[in-house]
Amino acid sequence: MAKDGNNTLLEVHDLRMHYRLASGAVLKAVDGVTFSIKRGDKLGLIGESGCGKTSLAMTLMGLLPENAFIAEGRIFFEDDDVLSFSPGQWREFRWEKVSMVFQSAMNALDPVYRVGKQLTDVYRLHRKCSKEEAMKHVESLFHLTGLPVSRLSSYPHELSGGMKQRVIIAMSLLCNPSLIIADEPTTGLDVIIQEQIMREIVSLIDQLELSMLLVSHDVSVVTETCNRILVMYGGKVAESGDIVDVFNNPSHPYTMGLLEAFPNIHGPVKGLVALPGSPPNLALDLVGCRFAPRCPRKEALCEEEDPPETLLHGNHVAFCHFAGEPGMKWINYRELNG
Amino acid sequence: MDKVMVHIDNIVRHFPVKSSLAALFSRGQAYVRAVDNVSLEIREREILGLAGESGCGKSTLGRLLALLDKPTQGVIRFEGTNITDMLGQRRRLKEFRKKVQMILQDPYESLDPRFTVHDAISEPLSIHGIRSAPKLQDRIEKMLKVVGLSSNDVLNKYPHELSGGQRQRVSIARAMVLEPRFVIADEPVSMLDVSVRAGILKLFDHLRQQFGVTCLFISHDIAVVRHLCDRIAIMYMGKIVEVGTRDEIINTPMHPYTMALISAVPVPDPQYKRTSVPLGGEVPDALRVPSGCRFHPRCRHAEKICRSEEPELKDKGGRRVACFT
Repeated sequence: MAKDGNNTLLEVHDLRMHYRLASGAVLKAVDGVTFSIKRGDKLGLIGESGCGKTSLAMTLMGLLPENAFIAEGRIFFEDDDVLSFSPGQWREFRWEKVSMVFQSAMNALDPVYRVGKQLTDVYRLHRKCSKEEAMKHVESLFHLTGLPVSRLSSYPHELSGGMKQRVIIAMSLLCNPSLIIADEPTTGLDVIIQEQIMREIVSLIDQLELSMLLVSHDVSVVTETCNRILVMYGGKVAESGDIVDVFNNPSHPYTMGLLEAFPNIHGPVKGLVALPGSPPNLALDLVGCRFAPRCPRKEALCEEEDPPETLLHGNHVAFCHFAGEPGMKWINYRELNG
Repeated sequence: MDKVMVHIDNIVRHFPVKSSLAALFSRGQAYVRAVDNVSLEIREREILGLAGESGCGKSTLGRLLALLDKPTQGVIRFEGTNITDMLGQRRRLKEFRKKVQMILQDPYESLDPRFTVHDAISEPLSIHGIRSAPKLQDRIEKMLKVVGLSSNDVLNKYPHELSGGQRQRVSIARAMVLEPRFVIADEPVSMLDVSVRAGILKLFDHLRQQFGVTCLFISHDIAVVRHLCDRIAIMYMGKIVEVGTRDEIINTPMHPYTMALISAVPVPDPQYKRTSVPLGGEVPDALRVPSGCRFHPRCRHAEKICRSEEPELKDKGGRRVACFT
């Protein structure tokens, strides 16, 4: 594995994570994904439901259901080969190296324990210390995330949605991890709370010099918080790069459509773009570009061959047979929509 | 376009709260004031957006307008007739349902899993007396075409065989098949992926053009509301705080809550530098509504009067705002 200095934190190479279904079919949720996260990176992983983004995040955490298996690929974290970890090593890895902010804070907290106890328990499992020391540490994290210390003795149901999400964020910081995986951390929260939480997450990440993988379906949340973006479609990477590059020069037809499908509250009111068709069924044996059936630019080649990686600029890459070609400038979905 | 279709006059809906220990010691029954003295006009052929945070009462207001719930107080007039006393009068209610329909957030829950698409769309027709097979078939096929589905593909399918976008199109077809005059859509796109969301929003615009249907579009997502609606009403803790045209509300909001709400919406443009209006605290407990203006504990402009008196929704250069400052 090539490493540029000591700067790369996480490296995922040709990862294929599949589910065995009851019917015997194999669902290829993550199907050949390669990317890396450098120290200090805030990478936004974006895509629609079922594109494999949560499956990818769960693979990185080693939290896979029974019917899931890794068909191929390697994951390196710092210098460790993550996929060869023993259960004990995984337990150390989680929380200590990588921690996760889950989608619904409601379900991530145990309803029958006070939140303070839930946090100190996790901490004491990892750092053998006294209850008092653990409590002191948790208190400092409550300060950091803007929670009143009095809330340590609250049960989850006594907290508002925003507060619960803050508890989860405090929990993710317990053991000083280097990478935070945030899976839709504000989905289901109201826009004002969402803004506060996102701002807090970003300022904590920067302040503590951590890295983040933000999994989201919301293009605008990712653009506001991340410096890099990775667009997933049908279990594969469609496009990735610095966020400004991808925005100014989207080079995969899916990215182009996705960006135009998002309403902006500023600027002129433009008609929104709808992509025809629906995402592919990943339990079928798919040939060629995953996006081809919905793509306005598709040609015979697209249905036969997987698109190769095209390097556009810096670290901006797109997986499309026609990426970077002059005629590819911008697909006018608006005209296509009529 | 300016004729008023629905006239909401000081409507109130209070829900009694099951008595907790605390309530036993205080006096009497506690109430959540989900909708608290709301007056609003909905004009013919317009799409009015109703936006606000969860728990602000927007869905309750929608249910009241669809007569799925009875107001505690106040009057709703639909095309001049008082509809609030219709509940319990079966025949009048049936006539009303022909004219007013509702579209819900989750098409998986609003469609019966054991009904095929054909069954789901024919049910309202047969309830209202259209039962002959060729007639039914004709209406269903036409309606499916309107909502952008091919009857060959979907007619005999069950909801679980359809994608989310298709399901929502079916539930829209079901609501529209009687050609209602007024449709209440409660978060109809918030469960859908972005790439299909735009198609459903376009469909609403199309329905208005083809059928002249009036629509109340309830959503927590102001960016979406902006892209579809002619006018927007903003709700906070059971009250409408501001109502005006789309551009008035989005470009020059006047109520401090509207300002905060709009400024908090993330922008899908990495070069755009958004300045947000910070807001203190969170939405207060619905059981303990603050005195005076219910927004005052979080408002940066709050003055003495805001703590003691409740501002009314007043005309301010065309739009209406409930704020003293």
